[in-house]
Amino acid sequence: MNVLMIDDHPTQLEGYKSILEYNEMGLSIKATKATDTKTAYEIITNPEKNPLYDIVFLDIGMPKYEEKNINSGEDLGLLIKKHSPDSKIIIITSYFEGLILYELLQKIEPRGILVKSDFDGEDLLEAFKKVYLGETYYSETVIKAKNIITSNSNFLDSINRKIILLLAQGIKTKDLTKHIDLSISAIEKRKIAIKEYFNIDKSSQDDILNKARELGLV
Amino acid sequence: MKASHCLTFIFDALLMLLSCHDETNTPKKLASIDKLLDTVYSDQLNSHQKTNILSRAKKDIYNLQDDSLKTLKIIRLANRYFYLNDLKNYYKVSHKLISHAEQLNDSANIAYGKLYLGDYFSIKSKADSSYYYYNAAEKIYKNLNEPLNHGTVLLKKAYLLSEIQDFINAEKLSINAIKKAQVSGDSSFLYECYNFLGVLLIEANQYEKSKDYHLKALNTIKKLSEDYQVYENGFYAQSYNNLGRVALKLGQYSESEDYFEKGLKQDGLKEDFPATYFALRDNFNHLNYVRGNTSSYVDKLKNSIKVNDSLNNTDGVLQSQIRLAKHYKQENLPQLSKPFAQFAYKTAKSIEATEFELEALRLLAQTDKQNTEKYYEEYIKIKDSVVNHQRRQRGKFARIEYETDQIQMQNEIMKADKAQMEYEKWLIIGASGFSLLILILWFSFKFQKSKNKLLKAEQEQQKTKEEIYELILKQQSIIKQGKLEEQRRISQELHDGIMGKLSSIRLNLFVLKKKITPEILDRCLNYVKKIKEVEQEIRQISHNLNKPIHYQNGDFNLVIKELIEDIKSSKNNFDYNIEIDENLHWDEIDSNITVEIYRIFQEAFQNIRKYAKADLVSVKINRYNNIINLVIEDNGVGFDTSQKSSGIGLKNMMSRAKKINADFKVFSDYHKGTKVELNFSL
Repeated sequence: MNVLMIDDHPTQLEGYKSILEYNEMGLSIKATKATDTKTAYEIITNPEKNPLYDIVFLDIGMPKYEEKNINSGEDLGLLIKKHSPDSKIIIITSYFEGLILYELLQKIEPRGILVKSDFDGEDLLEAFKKVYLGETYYSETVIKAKNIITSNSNFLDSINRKIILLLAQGIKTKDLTKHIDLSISAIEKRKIAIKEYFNIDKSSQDDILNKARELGLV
Repeated sequence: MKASHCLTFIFDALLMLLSCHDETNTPKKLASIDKLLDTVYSDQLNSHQKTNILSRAKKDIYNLQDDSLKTLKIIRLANRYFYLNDLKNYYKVSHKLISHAEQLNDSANIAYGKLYLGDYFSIKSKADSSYYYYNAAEKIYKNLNEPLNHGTVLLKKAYLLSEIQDFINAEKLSINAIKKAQVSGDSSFLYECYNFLGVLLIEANQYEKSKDYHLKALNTIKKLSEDYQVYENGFYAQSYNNLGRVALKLGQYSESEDYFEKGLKQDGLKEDFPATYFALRDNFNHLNYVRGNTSSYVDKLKNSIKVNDSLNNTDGVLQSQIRLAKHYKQENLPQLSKPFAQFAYKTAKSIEATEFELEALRLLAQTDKQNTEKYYEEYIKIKDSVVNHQRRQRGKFARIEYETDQIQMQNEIMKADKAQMEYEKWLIIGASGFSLLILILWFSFKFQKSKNKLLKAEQEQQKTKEEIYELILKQQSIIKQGKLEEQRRISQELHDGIMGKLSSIRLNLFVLKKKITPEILDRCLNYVKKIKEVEQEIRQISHNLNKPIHYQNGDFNLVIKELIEDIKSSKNNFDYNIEIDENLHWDEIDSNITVEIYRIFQEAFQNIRKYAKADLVSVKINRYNNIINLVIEDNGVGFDTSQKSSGIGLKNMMSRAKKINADFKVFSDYHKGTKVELNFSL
């Protein structure tokens, strides 16, 4: 079977490959490696010149490829969806923030998500097996975030999620308007609603972040 | 007008008639006294006339034969004085009530008189005296079966305790008062107890418990006797308001809204109980704000300030002013926040509303960055004095309670009593003192005038100090920003670099678990070597973190640099270099000195800009032990120091140098540039 592996750390790819050789199904794996964004872009956007990849391992933290307006592995994921909808994507990422992972889940609809800090070889094999068999495999962090967000969908809507994420990046409330198409007062209202939801009495934004961290959202 | 004159005349005539007295308490005499006492409620007499009538009634009552009927009249007399707000006479009559009841061995009315005296001192803000009398009354009531009065005394003691924030004991007393109220069957008093305890528990942050009591209060209103039914709507509104406040604190917003709405719906509320009505509206507005509905918040607060002011409800005004200030602060509009906080601060200070005063000070400290320290100092000072006062009062109350220092306490109280008696004497002394005071004031005014000049100079210096402080603050925020960026960079390095490498090593070594062949072992050993690379990378990051950073030092250095940059222009372009000794820590130097140095720099740079035509300026600051050597040098046109009478700029520098005991020298000659040198010791 054909597997495409995208990661800018060659040793990482080396590791994936040698682990996958021990897959339970005894499949022989033909791996194509892409260690820079340009190579990955060429492979993805020219499906006719390449075999159909059954599974794509995709690292989200890929460097920018500005000529084609690719900012990260996320954009590559969208391209894969577009050019090769039959390929099953397994995202491998060092992000562990629930909100970011959830965003990736929504946008790219991968079959698997592995968080670098919490998976080992067995998990990789398990993910590979499940995805190969048409099931899904998500790291625990992802499942937890998904549960929190979907059970609170009315309040953790995409805008509120973005507000929390931006705050976590250290962006000040007054600068949020540059990132979100809302007025200051609308953002303030939303912040108050978030605080209300988190059961925070009166406070600075740090408390929103503390709570969000506690829940594994950021 | 005519009618009232006529009435007065009739009353005067009445008084004449009554002035004759004989020995027995005839019904006729008693009735005429009652009539006099009742006229106090007439709205056709002015207070002076009413006072006259009461003093006549007093004379008549005191002339009555000593019996229980006389006691009742004395009580009514005291009530009338209280009604007229004539506290001096209220006090005297209350004492009379006690001595009279003592003669009759009537302990119930002795206690009643003590209760009255307690009220008197409570109004006079003499909490310990007040507590003493309430306590004495309570002791008597313990042996009597008068649950209503007993309960009243307990509740009054609870009031005093709650004022010094002794919530635990206040709560205990209130619960005892509730028990007495239940025994007495007086629903209006029971309501008062429940409501007070509910409010007390809000202050003690026990919201769930508070809610229980407010609900009980609400249920009690239904059982009010007919006399109190006129107040029913007011009571309902008050209880709904309190319940709404509690729900708001508990975060139960829709419940809170419900309560406020119910409160506002009470008939005739705005006309009959305007204070409650506007309190409800204020709280409703605040609820909406907390829920994120901010649109009309500010307008409503401003309106609230106006309305509460017209009602003379200072607490309401203060609360709204502080909420406004808070709101503006949160919106990052300190210039709008400050004036409201200042208003609130001044008002709260003048009426001794300490809670508001503290809150206003905190807001001021946060919005008025130039005076942050000053405001916090004041805040701490007041906070300390409040705590000390509370501690002292609690101690005194405990002493009264346990009667350990009974005699000493009695002496103190007697002193307070005596002070009251001597009040009039002091009034005369005060008047003569007043004229003396005016004389002194006149002299001090003269003195002040001459002092003003000096003050002005000091003010100017203060201004400079603030200027520098501001500049340093500005630099600090730039540095802080840089620090944050550095932090972020390091975190990224750890996350992307180190963690990525470690996890890939871990993955590659995983293969060992599956199969071990010499070939695989070989490959894995390679990865073990990679761990060393990671170690080196960590060492590098750790090294970067450890680099000495002279942030604080940089502050004033940057300020000087900015000064130079300021005077540079296209016409006046020159190179410059600044050398500042790394051992020089500006924060260790007194800010008075820094200010003068800053001014000298400013002056020197101005001279360079105006006259020097230099293309190189150098600034050197060195430290040798405790001596600081400061040199400003340029390669401009210079001047003849022996000929030219020194200009204002130079004179200024000299006088400033003198202020900080610095040795000041100027070296210059035509076409040889100018060098200004300053030496001073720390």
